[in-house]
Amino acid sequence: MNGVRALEEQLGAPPPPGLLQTLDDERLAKLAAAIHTTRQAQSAALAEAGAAGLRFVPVLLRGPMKKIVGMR
Amino acid sequence: MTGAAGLVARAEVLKLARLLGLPAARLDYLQGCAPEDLAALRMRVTDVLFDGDRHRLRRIAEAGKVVPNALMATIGQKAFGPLLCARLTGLLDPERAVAVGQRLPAAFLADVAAELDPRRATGVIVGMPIELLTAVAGILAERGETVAMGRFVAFLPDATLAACTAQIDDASLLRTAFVLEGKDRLDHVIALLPDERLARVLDVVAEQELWVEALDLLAHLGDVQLDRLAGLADGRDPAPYAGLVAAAQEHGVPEVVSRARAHGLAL
Repeated sequence: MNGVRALEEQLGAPPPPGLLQTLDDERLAKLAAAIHTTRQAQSAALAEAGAAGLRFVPVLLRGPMKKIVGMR
Repeated sequence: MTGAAGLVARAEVLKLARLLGLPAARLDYLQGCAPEDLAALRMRVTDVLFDGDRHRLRRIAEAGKVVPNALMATIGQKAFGPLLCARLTGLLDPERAVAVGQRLPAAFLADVAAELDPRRATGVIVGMPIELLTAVAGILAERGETVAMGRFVAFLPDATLAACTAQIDDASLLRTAFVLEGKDRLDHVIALLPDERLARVLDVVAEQELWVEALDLLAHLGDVQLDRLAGLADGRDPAPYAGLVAAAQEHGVPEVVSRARAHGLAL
């Protein structure tokens, strides 16, 4: 996959046109990889934190809460 | 990229690096990009990061409605952590978020603030007590979170802004001004500073050689504040500011120094 496509995929939209004129393909790919890494790390951290939150919820509330958050 | 746009691009790279959790040096290859392209990129990355898990976050926010505020605060601090709390803040009812926030220590709120997109939590920010906001500002300054502080300025009323700037050391104030979101408010922020504070900012420029930050500040000040600055600097030895003049040449903004001199600033 080339850098432009990789960046567009990460942004979910075409990158600002000026960037495409200024950065070569390798740098666009590098930027896309940096965004991808951050997205993955944050998504994993959020999932872990959400699951950890249930440990503090009283037992009686855990069932209804799991249902609301879609864990069962 | 050189000239005033180069200074703005430099600030934009700092902001993007903070957003991605990277050292700014890792994004040095972006310095040649136009600042408006970098700003557009950063806004898009912000949206992607905040909206990527929106469905899951909405469900967590929904589930949180059945939990009392005190328990919500405990869960937020001990289980969710600052990143998830920051993402959830904009999805909660602002009154509830403020009530929960007031139960949390300022140090944790500073962690949350560093991850927050103020555009998505305006109602929460303006609803927080001024004492708590100033405490958070002080902690963010101690931690060098100038990019985070710069994001909030546009959303704070003048009284809160004045109280927060009083909590921030002079170098942090100047560094925050450099990465301020919405530079059109910079002149107004400076106008809120007392004379003695602004004079100290002049001192710290030379002491810590904050040339780029100072040039950017001078470039954004209106005539009234430049005149005021020149008045405060009247009689000062210009020698310690030789580095500022050299930096202006290096970054292609000699006109910034020329304009400041025309207003009577001895450089």
